[in-house]
Parts: sequence; structure tokens; C-alpha cells
Amino acid sequence: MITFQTVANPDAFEVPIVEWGALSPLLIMALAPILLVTVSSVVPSFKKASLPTVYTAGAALLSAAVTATLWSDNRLLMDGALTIDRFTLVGWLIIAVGVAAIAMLLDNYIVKQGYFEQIIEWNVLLMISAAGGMIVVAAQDLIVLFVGIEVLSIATYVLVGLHLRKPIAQEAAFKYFILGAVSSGVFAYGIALVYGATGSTYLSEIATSGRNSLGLNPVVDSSLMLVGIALMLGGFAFKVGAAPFHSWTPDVYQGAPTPITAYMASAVKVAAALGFARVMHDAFGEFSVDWQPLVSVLAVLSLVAGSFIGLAQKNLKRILAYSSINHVGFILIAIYALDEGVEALLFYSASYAFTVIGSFGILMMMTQTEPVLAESDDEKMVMIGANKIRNLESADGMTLDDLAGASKRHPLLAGLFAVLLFSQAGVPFTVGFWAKLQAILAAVSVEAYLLAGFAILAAVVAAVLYLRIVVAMYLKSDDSEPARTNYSKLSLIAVVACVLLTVGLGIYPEPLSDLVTNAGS
Amino acid sequence: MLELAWLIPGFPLLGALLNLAVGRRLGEPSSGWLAAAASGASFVTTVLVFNELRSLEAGERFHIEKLFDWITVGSFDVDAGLLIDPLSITMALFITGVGSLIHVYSVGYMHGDANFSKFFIYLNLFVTSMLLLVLGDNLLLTFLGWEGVGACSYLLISFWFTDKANATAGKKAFVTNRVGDFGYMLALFLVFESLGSIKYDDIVAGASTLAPVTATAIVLLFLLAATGKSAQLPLFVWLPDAMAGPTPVSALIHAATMVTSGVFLLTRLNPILAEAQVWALGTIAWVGAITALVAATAAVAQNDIKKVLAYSTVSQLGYLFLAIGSGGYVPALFHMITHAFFKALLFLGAGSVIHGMHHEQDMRKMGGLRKLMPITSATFIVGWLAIAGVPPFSGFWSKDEILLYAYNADAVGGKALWVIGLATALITAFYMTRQVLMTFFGKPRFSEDVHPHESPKTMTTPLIVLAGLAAVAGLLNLPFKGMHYLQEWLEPSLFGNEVHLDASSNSKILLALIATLVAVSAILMARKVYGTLGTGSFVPASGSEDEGKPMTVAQKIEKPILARAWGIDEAYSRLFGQLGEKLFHKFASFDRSVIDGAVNGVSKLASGVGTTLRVTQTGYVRNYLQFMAFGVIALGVWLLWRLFI
Repeated sequence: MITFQTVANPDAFEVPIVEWGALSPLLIMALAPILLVTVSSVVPSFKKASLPTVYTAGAALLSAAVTATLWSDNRLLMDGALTIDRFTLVGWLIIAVGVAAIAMLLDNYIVKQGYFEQIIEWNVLLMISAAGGMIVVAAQDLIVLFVGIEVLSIATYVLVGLHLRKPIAQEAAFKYFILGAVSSGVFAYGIALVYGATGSTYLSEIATSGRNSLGLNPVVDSSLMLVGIALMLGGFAFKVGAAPFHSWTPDVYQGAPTPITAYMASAVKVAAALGFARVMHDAFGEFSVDWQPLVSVLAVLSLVAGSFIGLAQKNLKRILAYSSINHVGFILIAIYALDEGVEALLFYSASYAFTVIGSFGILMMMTQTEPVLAESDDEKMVMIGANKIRNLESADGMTLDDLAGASKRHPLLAGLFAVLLFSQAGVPFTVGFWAKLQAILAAVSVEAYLLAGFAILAAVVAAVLYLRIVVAMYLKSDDSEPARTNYSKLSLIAVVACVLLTVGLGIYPEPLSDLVTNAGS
Repeated sequence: MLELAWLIPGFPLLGALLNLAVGRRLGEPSSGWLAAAASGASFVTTVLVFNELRSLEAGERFHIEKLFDWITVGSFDVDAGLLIDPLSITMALFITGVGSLIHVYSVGYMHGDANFSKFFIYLNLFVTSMLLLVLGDNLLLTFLGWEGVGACSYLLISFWFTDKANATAGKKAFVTNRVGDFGYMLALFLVFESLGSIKYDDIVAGASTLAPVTATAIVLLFLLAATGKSAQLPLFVWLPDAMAGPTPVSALIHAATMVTSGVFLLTRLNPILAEAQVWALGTIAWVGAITALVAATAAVAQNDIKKVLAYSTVSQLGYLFLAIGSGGYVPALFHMITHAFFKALLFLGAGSVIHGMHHEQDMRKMGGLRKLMPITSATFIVGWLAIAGVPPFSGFWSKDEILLYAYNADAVGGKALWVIGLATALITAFYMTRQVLMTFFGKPRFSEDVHPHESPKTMTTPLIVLAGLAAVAGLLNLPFKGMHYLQEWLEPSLFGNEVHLDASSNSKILLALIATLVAVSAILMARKVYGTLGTGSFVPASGSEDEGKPMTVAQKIEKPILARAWGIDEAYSRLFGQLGEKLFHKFASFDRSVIDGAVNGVSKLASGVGTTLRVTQTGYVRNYLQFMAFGVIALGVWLLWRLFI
């Protein structure tokens, strides 16, 4: 017999106060997709053209604007499950602005591919995933964090595979899904062990029941705790794509539609990195002597794997995927430096996010894609012949050789791309220089000289990654004529904004530095 | 008004950007007028700021207008700010004033050039950089301007880059200046190292804490920088070649403004100069004096109308260094201002002649232009009298002041410096008279199909204005009681570091009389040698039919050694061309085998490692899962291992 347990005394269960105002950026990002689904199912004309894009970009920018109004807020929300502080707000800002830029690129991608069927789904999932990311950044409780990570990830799996006519995207989505599911399992197991050791899932409570105040059986409890930390570390390392948990990155980045790759490399990665930093600092701060060496090993491996293996690649998306692994190395250095590295972490995340969005965006815009198949119609799916598939492969398989003469075919795009690549390489007068400098200074300030040295060397090797692309565009010319531009104004606005930020903050980094200061507390 | 000071460099920058955006569409002459208007607006702003500054108490005339935080890295904290004080505003006044006139002149001079609007972009950018150089409130911002003017100078010297000689001249200027910039950077590092700041107000406050040795080193390094930009020995060789650029450029950059930046820098750093050992100042004075003499003698034998003026500029800049080395900052600035007026005037006059003669620059093929180009010749004559030091024209007053300081600078060799200065004055009057006679007087020596004509109003108007200024600028600082306007005005920028002479008025008058006498006798001498000469009276071009005839007086004076600027240029080419070349080849082969070898080795290693590691990327999910599993296990084992040890 089934009995329904009811709350005997309603007063015993306290409904937490919901701070609607402080949560509004998150709520906008979570409710906007629901509204979009509803409206577009009632009004079919909404599916056409750039309307969903404008809607998504508008919602994301609104969320960013509301975030900006909360600037000086610093408190716990939802009975301590979420927190809103400078750290959260910077993360929200990065994610929200990133989503706006990616929606603008996505619109162009859909037009170029002639693939309008899923236009609503793409935008909806993008926003839902971003809302998950915003939860990750703000979470103060491991369960909430886990929910955020799953919302973020599951939507992303679907986004990767949503281009139903691209087998390579399907493969990527499937790989990402399997590996992601395993890593989520590892992560959840870690949460369970930590809960077992401390009896709490709140970061602040875990911190206070740390090493010196564990229960009756210190050895058992602290081994539970340490294994839990190890498992969570592994889970986070997968999400941010740190070596040796990086192996999915090149395959998935290559296979995914390029704007989605940009999204994974920017907003997803930043959300995971910030969540990572928050948990490691706030919950496991007392165990930092234990996990810091591991983070430094992950950093070094990421730096090495990202720069060295990247050199052996020819495919541009794979090169940029390895470059993102290299960037993770720098982000991990900032996490390693604990309090000294918080500003560097936020500075690096922000500058890295728009640099990488711009880079993938330009790559997408440069790719000459004819509409793959005739308009819509499911039966055309069957008609994918060998020829068509090869076409698709090359569409997302642009190699260094294909770039030869790009400076003549697309003088504007090549110039913008070069600027972004210089920034990724850390050339002075771009924001990438200041980001790398801050990360290295953070390592120096905690006397991790070896790590700083590694970072400098890896930056040198990685510079070759980027310069190879510039060389391919500018020095390996052929007799190309300026090509017909087949990119939209919206996407151009998005990448130009990225480039302007890169150069503007490169010459005058103060605004971004101001933004991230005092985020340490 | 002071808070609007950013508009001073802002206007020309805006002008350059506007021309960059729409210059080609505006075309000729609108884009030129746009640039001139930008420069003019900057001048008006400067005048307003100047008025505001004048209304302040003398003690408060050292105002820093912070614009924004520029760079903050550790203890290295630099703002972008403008330093408004009498020194910077004086510089800004004549930069924007003379600059605006030259912009107007250029509208006429560059008529018909294919890259008309590009020229004005560069010109505006130059003015911006120069203003940043003088207005910057720290050494780094000044350096930004310093490099900016260097870059603009390079671009403008080789403006007609399709001619190889012009491109080479541009490169020569660039490379020579780099040597000086090297000194600037080292000095900047040294200042930061010893004072912990590179802001001028901190330097002023902290200079007295510097050890004399440190201060001396800083001064000598900045002197190296200054010899590059201000074309002094040993780095002056680029300036004569820089005449390859359009004449307005020679007037603006290579006579009136950029080349004075070295002198400005030394003046700005007067608190450090005051701490340095005496011989550092002596070095400055002697570098200046010797440069002045050498360049003046070289100018005697030049036949290119612009080359004469180029060597003359080097020589006059030498005076400025002589003044600073003798502790006379005010005379240095005084002469800098008068020189800016009369040398810009002479250059623009020369440009007008070149324009009228259809791009003929050889003075041997001129003569008698006085009647054909009345305005140009009249104004040029004013400039000549000014530079020759004939009272009451401006050059007389300022040069006399420098000689007075040199005469009294006993610590660094006063009387000898004075003699050299006086000799230079003599030669200056001589070669300038020679130039005027060869160009404007005597019989025409140009061929009959050349029809010289007076230049358009856009060119003559600036000439007239500059002639007026060159004539009366001496009023700025007359050596009579109560008329030291410039001295009183500049006082707040010098912090009492300038030498106050208590020379008796008798000795002042005596020195002035000697100087006047020297100038007049030099003019008479030149008239005797050059006044009556015809076509065949000059050193013949090799291969001409006059070669081998007995030499005239003029030819004996213009000995070939002089024609080649004392052989310094040749000595440089020989040093770098032969001995240096061998050395460079050695370096190059070292670079190829050892350094490139190492670099290539590293890159081979890197791509080798990459290719090897790439094998791990199989594309199979099962392999990826293995990595993850091993990774997690490794993490767990490490943490537990720490626990149980």
C-alpha cells in the first residue's frame, strides 16, 4: 500500500526566502528559452530569419545588464544555496555576454548551412545551458552545483549533435555524452564521499569541518574526504578540459558546429573553471597543501599537451582546441595561487572568453560553405551521398593549407583573426598579454617559480601555434581574389566587438582590472 | 581651462583619424585644410591654457592633469597625465603655432601630390606625438611621443619612397635614432631603479636623494638619447640626409620642433642635471660646442639650398647644448624659440624657391631671384639677418645670451667655449650670406627654359608671419633690467637650477659688441668672396668643362673635405661598411649556426614530442575513458599516499 507522506506540520518546513531581484539575471536566462519555445510553437513565423537570434541576444544582454546593476551586492541567496558576490557577477557577465555573441554567430551559421529546421532549439538550448552555467558560478552547495553542471552539460551534448545532417557532429555529441556522463558519475561520487566525511554539502560547512575538526575516526573520515576531493578534482578537470582529462576536447570541438565550439570553449569552460575555483577555495581551502600539487601537475600537463600536440595538427579547429587546453593551463595556475590568483583567474577567464569566441567566429565566417542540401525536407536526409558527406567534412575540416591566401580573399577577416591570434599568443598591446602576465605574476607571488617558468616556456611554444595560422594567411599567398563575403552583419558585429575589446583592453587594461579587483573575498 | 589640456594633443589626433577615415574622399585641398584646422584648434587651446596658467601664482604653475591610470604592474604605476607648466606650455605654443603655419604652407606646397591626404595624416600625427612628448607627465609618456615623432619623421623623410635615395635617408634616420633611443630606455630604467618612479613630480622631489654617480650616469644616457634626436656629434649624420623629405617636413620636424626634443628633455630633467658631477655638464657643453663648429664649417661648402640649412640646424642645435652645459636653460629655450621661427622661415623660403624653380635645389643654378620672387626673398633676408646675429633681429639676442653664459661657465671651460661659439657665429654669418648671395643676388645662372615664379598665397602668408616673428622674437627676453620675460616665466619649471649670472653690464655690452662686430665682418667677407661671382666661380661638378681651371677664393674655401662634412659620413660608412661588415658577417654566421640551430632544434623537438603524443588521440571513446580512469586513480592515490605518510 502506498502512503503519501505529507508534511504534518507546515510550519516545520521553512520555505526559504527567494531573492527575486538578485536572482533575476539567472531567471531571465532560464525563463527566456521557455517563452521562446511557447511563442514559436504558436507563431510559426517566429522560426524564420534572425528573429530568434535577436530574441536570444536581447535576453542575454538584458541578463548582463541586470547583472551589472547588482554590482555591489554581496550576500547569500536561497537559504545559502547560492551566493552573489563579485566573483559570481563577473562570471555571469562573461556567460551572458558570451551567449549574446554566440547567438549572433549561430544565426550566421544556420544561414550558411541552409539549415533552418532547428533554429528555435539551438537558441533555446543555448540559453538553458547558459542558465546552468550561471548556477555553477554562483553555487554554494554541492548538490546545487551538480544540478547546475548537469543543466549546463546535457544541453551542450544536444547542441553539439543538433546538426542532424552532419555525421561528424553526431559522433562528437555521442563521444561527449558518454565521457561526460562518466565524469558526472565520478563527480557525484566525489560529492557523496565528501558528504560522508563532513555531513554537509554546503561549501562553508565543509570548510569548517576540515582537517582539524573531523569526527570520531580521523583516518577514515579524512581518507573519505581526500578520495572525495580527488574524484571531484577529476570531474572538474574533465569539464574544463585539463590534461589528462582533455582527450575529448579536440574530437568534440572539431565535430561540433563552430559556434557551439565557441560556446564550449568560452562560456562552458569559464563556468566550469569558476565553479572549480570556488569549490577548491571555499570548501577545500584547508586541504590546499594536498590538492595544490595536483592542480599544478594538471596545469603543467595541460600547458604541455596543449602547446606540443597542437603543433602536430593541421585542422584549424583542432589547433584551436589544443590552444584552449593550453589556456586551461594558465587558468589552473591562477586557481593554484588561491587568493593571490582570484583576480588573475577572472581577468584571464574574461579576456580568454571573448578572444576565443572571436577566433572561432571568424573561422566560421571564413569557411566557404554552400548550403549543404536543398531546403528542409526530411527525405533529403536519405540523399546524403558520399559526395555530400565529404563536402560537410571539409566544411568543418578547414586546414592550414586551406588558409593560404586568406589575407587576399578576406582581408578584413584575416586582419581581425590575426589580432585575436596575437592576443591568444600573449603579444603586448593585446589583452592576452595582460592575462598571461597576471597568471604568471600570481604564480610568482605564491613562490611557485617552477610553475611560472613552465607557463612562460609553454607560452613560447604555443605562440608558434598561433603564428602558424597567421603565416598561413599572410605569407602563403596564392592568386586569390577577394571573395564574396557570405557572412551576416550580426556575426561581423560580434567578432569586431571581440577584436575591439582585445585591442582596447590591451592598450588600456584598467577597466577590466577594476572589474575583477576585490573579487577575492 | 587646465582640465581641457587634453584637447591640445587631442585635436591633431582627431585630425589624423578623420583624414584617415575620409581623407581620400575629401581630397585636395580639403583634407589639408582639415589638418590645418586641427592644428590651429590645438594652438588656440594652448593659448587659452597659457592664459590660465599665467593667471596662477608662480608657485602653482606646475599642474598635473591626470587623464587615467595607464599601467599598474606591481610597484610600477604609471598614469597617463599631462604636466602643465611654463616649460611644456612654451614648447606647446611654438609647436602648435609654427606647426599650424607649416600646415597652411603645405597645402600649397604639396599641391598635386598623389598622396596629398596621407601627408597630412602624418603631419597631424607628428604634431600629436610631439605634444605628447612635451606635455607628458612622466618619462614613459614622453618616450611614447619620442618614438612617435621618430616614426613620423621616418615616414615623412621617405615620403616619396619610390626614389631609393629617400628610402635610404629614412632608414638612416631611423637606425641612427635607435642608438639614441637605447640610451633613453637605459636611462628610464635607471631612473625607475633609483627613484622608484618615472613621474616628473617624483623626479623633482627625489632628485636630491640621487648619488652623484647615478645622476651622472642618467644624464649621460639621456645625453646619448638627445644627441640622436637633436642631431649632435656623434649621431648627427642623419639630419643632412633627412632633407630628402618634402620641405615643409624639413621645416617642421628637422628644424623647428622634433630636433629640439633632446634639449627639451635635458631641460625637463634639470633637477637631475643639478645633482650630476660637473663633468657631465661639461660633456654636454663640449658636445654642443664642437658640433656647432663642425657643422657650421660643413655648411660653408654645401651647394644644395636645403643642405646648407640642414648643417646650419645641426650647428644651431649645438648652441642649445652649449647653453645647457653652461647652466643656461633659459638662453637655450630662448634660442630654441627664435631658432624655430627663423629656421622654419628659412626652410619654408627655401621650399618656396624650390617650388618656384621647379624642384631645382642646386644654388649654383640660381641667382638673381630677388626680382622674380620678391616676397620670398624679402622674408628670407629677414631670416638671414636673424640667424647671422645682426641686431635687432631675434637671433642676435638669443645667441648673445648663450655666448654670455658660455663665457661665464668657468667650471666647464668657459672662455674656450666662448671662443668656439664666437667662431661658429662668424662662420654662420658667412655661409648664410653666401647662401643669400648665391640664391637671390647676382646674375641669373639658371637655364633659359626655367621660369621662376612667386609662390601662391598659402605659401607666402606663413612666410610673412614667420618673418615678423623672426624679426621681433628677441623681445621675449631682452637683456635689460625688468625685461627678462622668458626667464621669469620659466622660473617655476627650473626649480632654481639655472645659473644666475651677475655679470656687469659693461662686460655684457662688450661681449655684445664683439658678437655684432663678428657678424658684420663675416657678412662683409662673404660679400667680398661671393658678391661678384658668375657661373664659373664655384667648385665645378666633376666632368664639367670648368674642371682643372685654377681655383678661385671661393673654391679654395670650399675644399672637398668640407663638402663632405669633415669626412664624418665617410668615416661612418667605412667603419660600418668594412670593419663592421666583417663583424656583422661573423655575428650572422653565429646566429645561423648556434642560435638558429638551437631554435630549430627546440622546434624540431617540440613538433617531435607533439607527433609522439598525438598517437594517444585515437578517437576511440574507450581509450579516452582509460585516460580518465587512470587520471582519477592517480589523483586519489596521491592524496591517500600523503595521508598515510
